[in-house]
Amino acid sequence: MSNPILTLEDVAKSYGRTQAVKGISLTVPQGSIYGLLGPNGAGKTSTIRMITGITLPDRGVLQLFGEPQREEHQNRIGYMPEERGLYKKLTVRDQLEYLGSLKGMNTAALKTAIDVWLRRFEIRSWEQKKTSDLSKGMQQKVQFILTLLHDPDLLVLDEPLTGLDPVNAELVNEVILELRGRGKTIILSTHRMEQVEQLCDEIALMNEGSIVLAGKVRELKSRSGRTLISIRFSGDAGFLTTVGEEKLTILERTPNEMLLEVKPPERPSELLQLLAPHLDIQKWEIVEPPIKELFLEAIRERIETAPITA
Amino acid sequence: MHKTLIVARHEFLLKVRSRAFKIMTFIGPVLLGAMIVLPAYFAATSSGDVRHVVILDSTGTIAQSMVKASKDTATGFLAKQLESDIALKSVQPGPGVQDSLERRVASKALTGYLVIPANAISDSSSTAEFKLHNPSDFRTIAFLKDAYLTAVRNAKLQARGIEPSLVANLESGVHLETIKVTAASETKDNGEAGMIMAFITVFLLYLTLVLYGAQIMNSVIEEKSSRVIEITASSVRPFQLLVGKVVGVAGAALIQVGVWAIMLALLTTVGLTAASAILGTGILPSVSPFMFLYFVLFFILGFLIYATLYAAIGSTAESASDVQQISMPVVMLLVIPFILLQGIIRNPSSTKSVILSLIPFFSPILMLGRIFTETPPWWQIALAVALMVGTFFGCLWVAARIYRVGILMYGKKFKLSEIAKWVRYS
Repeated sequence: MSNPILTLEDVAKSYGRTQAVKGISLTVPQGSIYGLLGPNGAGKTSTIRMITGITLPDRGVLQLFGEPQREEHQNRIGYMPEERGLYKKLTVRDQLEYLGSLKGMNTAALKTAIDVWLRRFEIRSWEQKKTSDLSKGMQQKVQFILTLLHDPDLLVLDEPLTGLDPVNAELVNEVILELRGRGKTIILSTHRMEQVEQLCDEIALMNEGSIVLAGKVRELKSRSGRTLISIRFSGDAGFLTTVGEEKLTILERTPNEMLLEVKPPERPSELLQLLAPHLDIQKWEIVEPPIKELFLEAIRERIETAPITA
Repeated sequence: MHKTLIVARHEFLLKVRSRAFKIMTFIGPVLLGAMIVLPAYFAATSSGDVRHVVILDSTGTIAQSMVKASKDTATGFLAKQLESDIALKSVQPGPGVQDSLERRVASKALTGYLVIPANAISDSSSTAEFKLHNPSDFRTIAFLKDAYLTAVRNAKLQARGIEPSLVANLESGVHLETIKVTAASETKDNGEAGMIMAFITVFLLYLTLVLYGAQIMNSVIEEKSSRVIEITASSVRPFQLLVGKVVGVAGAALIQVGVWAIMLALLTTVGLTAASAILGTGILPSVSPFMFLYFVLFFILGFLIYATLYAAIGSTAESASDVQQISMPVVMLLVIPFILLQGIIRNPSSTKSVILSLIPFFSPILMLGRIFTETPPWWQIALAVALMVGTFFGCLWVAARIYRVGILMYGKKFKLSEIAKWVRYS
């Protein structure tokens, strides 16, 4: 887990006057699932395009597999862009054969790999169908197979679950974990926090072209110093709004569950005393902050500390 | 396999296997052939639409000789086919005759009627009148004029005691043959046939460049709009993608044009041989194998130049409708030499022709046109080829830069000034 498979040092990219990536540095260890997170327009896609060799950095150093980025590295990377793209008029198999051969695969290896993955994703019977005849979910599977076909050492997945039903989403997650088990590295860019929670070992949070937070998920959570409580209850929790913001904040709320943040100096036990008379509490747990909270916090800080410009 | 070759192979197979390609390759020449053969066929056989012309002759002799002449002195191809669909009839002038003819012409029951004045033979200033409902019917008018002149001339000759057949005898046996002079040899040739060949060949080239240019442009747009470009660009350098695409499609185009050229050559040879047999003159142009090689060479170079430009244009657009305006300059580059061609062929060795045919964007059409009519000195051909090769690499350099930026740009239309910036900075 120690060898970095990808390192970015002060990498920057501009399009015209827009600075999409403002000199970021990050390290992705081999065999990890690395979450690249951030709001829309944060510079994730620009960063990914540099990693995949579609564009070149304006400045900075980009190292892949322990050496400066080379053209040949493209054959060792599997990329699933957010904006899915397949040749509409080609059949599933022709599609996979052509794009697979562009990754440097020979015919025999390609054939075997295509068979294996088509079977795994249960679309074998569709291989002679044109892409335009497939459902969106089916195209999504083809796209995912395309990413894996050449057995890449580094996978870059941009929103891999979009358009998939829960069953197939689970299958994709399963394959991602399996690949990590085989020592592959996965860079995952997504807005689905539950997928990040479920899969990511490390994350980097981007906002406005910069990395605002990065590190191992566990460390980031324990480092946050926030006290979060998850409760399950029955009763009317309406009175909580009168408690006052200095004592607690409701982060998430469903009819019977809540995620509360206790503001110091208030302690969790004091909160329990406050709630007990009003609600029938079935579960009371002190939890680590979810990544979504880290995400929002980091961006909020950024906004608060940002210089005001006219 | 080299990635450029993989792309080229893919694009080639994609084109060649498509139904449209197969249909166009084999139906195209049939359609083209039909374009050549059908009019000739219709011209050669009676259309059934006979034009009836009545002659009101006050001289009493001219109409008769016109009717007779139209029936048995038909000579040559043109006269033969006219004979069958223009029927002349002589009517004695009399009171009310002209009025009734006038009505029949007006109601289109009659094509027209010719009024020959009584002094037609004796007075040179006399004028015959041909009244018809369609004054644009040039064929009938020309035929009638010719027949009338011949009849009057013959009558005048006879009036002076000269037998018209004597004149005809004197005129026969006079031949003028055009001989094409080249450095190597003198060949009996027909300038018109060379010109026709030049037009056919150049038209084929022009058609292919326009058709395939548009196809390459659309294929780039399709990759871009279907977003598959992001996948390919993460596997291949845009430059390889561009070159592979152009080369692959060029291969397919070459095959198609090759088939067309061979079939067309067969067709025209057959057609021209038939025409020669009818006309009795040597109309067959001499197409040397060299000319075929020149055609292939200029086709490939022209194709590479234009296809590259079209690909670059395609990369700046997201839909086919976007490119209409921006592809105009390239279309103009193709249309201008095509318009100039006629003048160039008429005077292939003038300074103007030489200079114009050396402009690389015009060379595929103009130099080829010159080669087919009056083979220019070898150094001019060599210079044109060298300039075209240079231009191709120049275009490729520019196109690659536009392409690299263009394929990843979405959501806006680009001005030429902005595209020029891509070329400078990328």
